[in-house]
Amino acid sequence: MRFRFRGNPVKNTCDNILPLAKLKVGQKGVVAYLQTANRQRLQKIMAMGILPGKTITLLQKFPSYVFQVGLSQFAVDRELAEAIILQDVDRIN
Amino acid sequence: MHGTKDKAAGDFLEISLERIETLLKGDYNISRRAVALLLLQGDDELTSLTTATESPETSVEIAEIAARTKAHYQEPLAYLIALRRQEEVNRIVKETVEYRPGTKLPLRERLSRIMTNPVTGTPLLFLILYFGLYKFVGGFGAGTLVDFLEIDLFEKIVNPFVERTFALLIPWPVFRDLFAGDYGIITLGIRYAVALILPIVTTFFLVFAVIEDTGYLPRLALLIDRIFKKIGLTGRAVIPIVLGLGCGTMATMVTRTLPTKRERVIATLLLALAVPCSAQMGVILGLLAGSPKALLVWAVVVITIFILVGYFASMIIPGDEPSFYMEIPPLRLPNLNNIFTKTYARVKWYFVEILPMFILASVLIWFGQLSGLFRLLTKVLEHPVRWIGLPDNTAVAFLFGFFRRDYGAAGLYDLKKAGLLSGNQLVVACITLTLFLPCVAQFLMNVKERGWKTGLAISIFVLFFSFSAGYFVSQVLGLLGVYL
Repeated sequence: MRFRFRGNPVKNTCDNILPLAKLKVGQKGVVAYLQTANRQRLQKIMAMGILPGKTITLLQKFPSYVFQVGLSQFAVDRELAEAIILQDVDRIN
Repeated sequence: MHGTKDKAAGDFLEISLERIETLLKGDYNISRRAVALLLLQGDDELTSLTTATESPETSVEIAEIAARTKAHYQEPLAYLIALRRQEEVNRIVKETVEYRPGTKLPLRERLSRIMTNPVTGTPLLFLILYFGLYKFVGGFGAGTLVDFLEIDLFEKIVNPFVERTFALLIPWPVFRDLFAGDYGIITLGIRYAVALILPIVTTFFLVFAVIEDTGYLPRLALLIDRIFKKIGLTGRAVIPIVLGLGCGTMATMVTRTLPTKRERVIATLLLALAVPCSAQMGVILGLLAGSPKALLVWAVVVITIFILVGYFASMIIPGDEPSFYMEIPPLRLPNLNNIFTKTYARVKWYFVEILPMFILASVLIWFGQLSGLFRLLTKVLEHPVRWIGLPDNTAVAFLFGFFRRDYGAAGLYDLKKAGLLSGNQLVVACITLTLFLPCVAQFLMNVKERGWKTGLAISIFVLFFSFSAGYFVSQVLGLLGVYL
């Protein structure tokens, strides 16, 4: 089973949709939805306040994914970074 | 969520919430709305609490409302509620907070990047380990301070005084030995606790508090996560593991913070086997200080065993692969007050826990020697000790090692001073003793945290593994013709 949770305000869904893990360091995107077959992972992502509409900046990819969301920074592993799907990558600066 | 009320009037979730609120009659110390929100999100604890408090009819009705609400939406309710909460937070923040980001990266941010970039972060980690652990804990704590307390205080003043006093007080040598002999409560137990362990542990906890207070640990966690994944753990486990370099017993308790049982078992095993505590490390650093090559062999063997055993444990122990996520708080200058409070609390905990253990160990050793039980156990242990190429009298150090790991290491110290061990023997003894059974306190903590079966299984494994590894190293050193 695969959960695909769409957030409310999603415009232009076909533009530059990418998982966080595929971004380049320094790129930004807006969270479109969270995609994971694992409920615990979903819970963890939500606990970090990562929800549709939030802007995320990728700061580092190796050895872990580090990103900025709001005024906070988080580190996650690849599995979690794959589950965070962003849109409008590159469009916003 | 009050703010979303008007906007969401007529909304299914909102109506369900209000209906549950009016149904609730009990007092829960939190608002009815909070209770209703938790019930809708399927909180187990609160569900059983309301079922016990409310009438059966009400409970059934609430359950029905929750089920209907759940069925109404495609997404899990917890997710929807989080979204609404986020909207509300955004609304408040927008009205109240003005934020102007600077154009340049602040210094703390640049420092943070240096710490988390593997190219610069790895050398930095070694610098911290070198100055923090080797120089400060090993050199100053286990060297300068221990020498002062051990020689100037105990050997010159306390021990002769105690010997004289008890010679006058107790005419029977058997009971005199309990307090003042070679293994007496004061001359050995309290001496080891105060002169050897206290300075080492205090300096370690001081360094740990500084590192903890700066916010370095989460950065170390993200740096090391990939490696720790290979041994079935995540970056999160650096906290108990690094703490284990201070006190394995305390660290085993801290494994509670790991999210899955699998991670807790692996961390407990590694703490019992391949993570030397500060007291032990202090003595081992002291023992091998004269020979950097010997120290290198010890470190390489122990680290290799840490990784290999973790790797195989993660293959064998069932359970899901853990996932890693951690907030990276901003770097901060450590606060002196925090550091002293934390160090004081930890040293106090340690001392309260350790001192009775040392006294008990002294009494047990005294009893064991009096009854001949120790001679028997020492004789038994002499076989594996001989097997790994060590002189018979190191068996005593191993036996005492169980009462306190550092106690055993300290026993080796006496043997080295007497010139009874060659370089190779010293390394093999140090490796075996590092891996050997954790002290009584850590053993009890293993059983307490992991249960009898797992706790005991870990201890038996560690017992056999330590001597096998010692045997292996002594053979390899012999075959290669290495003399350290």
